[in-house]
Amino acid sequence: MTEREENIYSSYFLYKKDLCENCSECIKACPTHAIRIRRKKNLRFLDKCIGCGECIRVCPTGAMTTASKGIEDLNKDKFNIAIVSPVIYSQFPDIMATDVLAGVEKIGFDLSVDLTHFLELFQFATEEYIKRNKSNDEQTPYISPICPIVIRLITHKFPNLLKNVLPLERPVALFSAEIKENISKEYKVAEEDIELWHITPCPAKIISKKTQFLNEKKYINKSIGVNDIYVELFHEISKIKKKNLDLYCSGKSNVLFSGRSFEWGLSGGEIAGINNDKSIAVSGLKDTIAYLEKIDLGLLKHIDYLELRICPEGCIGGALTAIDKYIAKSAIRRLVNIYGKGRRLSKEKIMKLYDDGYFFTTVDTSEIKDIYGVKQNEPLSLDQLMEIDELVGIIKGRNCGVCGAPDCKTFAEDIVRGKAEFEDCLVPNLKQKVDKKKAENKTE
Amino acid sequence: MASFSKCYAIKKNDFIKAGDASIKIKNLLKSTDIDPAIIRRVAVCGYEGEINVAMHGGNGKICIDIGENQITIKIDDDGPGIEDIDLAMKKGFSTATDKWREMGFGAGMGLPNMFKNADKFNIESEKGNGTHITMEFSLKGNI
Ligand SMILES: Nc1ncnc2c1ncn2[C@@H]1O[C@H](COP(=O)(O)OP(=O)(O)OP(=O)(O)O)[C@@H](O)[C@H]1O
Ligand SMILES: [Mg+2]
Repeated sequence: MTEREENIYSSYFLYKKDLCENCSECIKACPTHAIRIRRKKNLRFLDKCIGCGECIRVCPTGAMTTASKGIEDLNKDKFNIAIVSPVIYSQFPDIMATDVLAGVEKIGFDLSVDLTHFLELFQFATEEYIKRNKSNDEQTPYISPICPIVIRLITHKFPNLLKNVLPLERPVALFSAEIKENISKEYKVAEEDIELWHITPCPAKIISKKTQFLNEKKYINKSIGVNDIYVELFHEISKIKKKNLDLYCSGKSNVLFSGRSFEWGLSGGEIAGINNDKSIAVSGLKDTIAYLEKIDLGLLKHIDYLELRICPEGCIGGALTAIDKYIAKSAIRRLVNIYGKGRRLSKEKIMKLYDDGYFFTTVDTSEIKDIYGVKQNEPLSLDQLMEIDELVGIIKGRNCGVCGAPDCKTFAEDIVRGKAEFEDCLVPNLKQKVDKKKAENKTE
Repeated sequence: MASFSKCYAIKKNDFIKAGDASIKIKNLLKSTDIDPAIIRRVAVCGYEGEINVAMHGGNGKICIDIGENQITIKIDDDGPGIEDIDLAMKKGFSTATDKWREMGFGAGMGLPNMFKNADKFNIESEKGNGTHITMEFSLKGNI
């Protein structure tokens, strides 16, 4: 069989047929019901995948993976810059952030650059934006634009909440916007010879052309999972590790980092750096959806800002991380203790940038839908609603999943939409039963 | 005439779950092409009603019926009932305890909001006989 028949791609994931054992965990775990398997591993991704990575998380055999090409995709003819977010430091407990940065250069990147300065910029700007636009009843509570999966979920399930998303550029976009030009000057390389890489725990960021949000430009050229490079990176870091954390804490590096920025990867880490006591942080798929439902009902008006993260405990719970999220959390706590919680940037300088419009972006919702390729279902008619309900009643199933849909109700909906066949269901003679019921309804 | 109905139970004092039925109703309606503005009104009324049942009423249920021309929401409970309906309907009237007020309820705006958002609103209640609310939302030319 050719490779194309064996591997199936969604917008974000890769399904390897030969590893699949037909357990259907992925189908049930998908929050947008975007996966179906029709007979003998004929897996299909519907255009509703938001890249959350739940399917990767639950897959017991590794058949479900990201579409990341790995470090092999590094083009040695280019000047390769790696953006290093604080989540990556959390993956190496008791190793200095500076050593991690050095290690990244050892595995093949020409330059590794820390992102935390821009996280702080963003937090300042957010604080200011909320202060100035609090009374805008239409848009409050504001929703953090940071988690790309949350934005995709909103696009798919709550399109009218896109107006609540804070219209500020994300730190990685602020960063990418200036780095190529600066590095080009400093290292005397042509801008077009620079390739910008994002090392990320987030499956939704792997396809770089789907990463940008709102009107951000497409700066990132390639993305790679933390787990793609972990083993190699760990190996390199253990070679260069000179001193351990405790000995180093009074060194120059204190100037470079603030403990605040290390918290970023934790649930609550974003709002911890924002002076606003009416903010909440929510993490995990279920709770995030529950909060979006509430905002959709017009509730939570007493809240100014919501930090939402699809992954449990925040980005350290991302599907592409390398170590357990609770271990990572404790590693972050130690870093924060060492570096303290001060702010590094001067408020006046940032205010000037703010007033110059440096942070702003505009929301074009139609464009977002195109970029993400997230589709809404065709609306159902009243008759179809009744048909689905009746079919569910006839099946009287227990969501066994043999049909390849996540549950009986979704299967019934697929049937009514003409996208599944009665024979896929274990209930014997389902079609005849439905026809009989229809005939009865008519004579009544 | 053909219509689609569904009911959901509401439990006394269950504040974690109160509101869930309205979210389910909202998602059900969102799978159709009913005007989002109407869906919002239905969901808000359902939500206020559900909270009232859990907070002031007793055990009960909320039912939705989607017809060709209108959506009907019925909310029934077996709680203590309302002694003076006219008073309860007034903006700002509330018997919510301090505990509920701390949780952000008790502005006395629930019933007035339901009245405002529904196209037809009917409430029947007397002391000892529970509370029964029916709301209608017109769909003319919509579904
Ligand atoms: N199902 C019910 N059973 C018994 N009493 C009710 C019921 N629904 C409402 N009431 C009474 O009517 C009053 C007004 O209700 P309303 O929903 O307008 O305000 P509230 O529930 O007190 O506050 P809010 O809805 O603004 O949080 C309540 O305080 C309560 O005394
Ligand atoms: Mg009320």
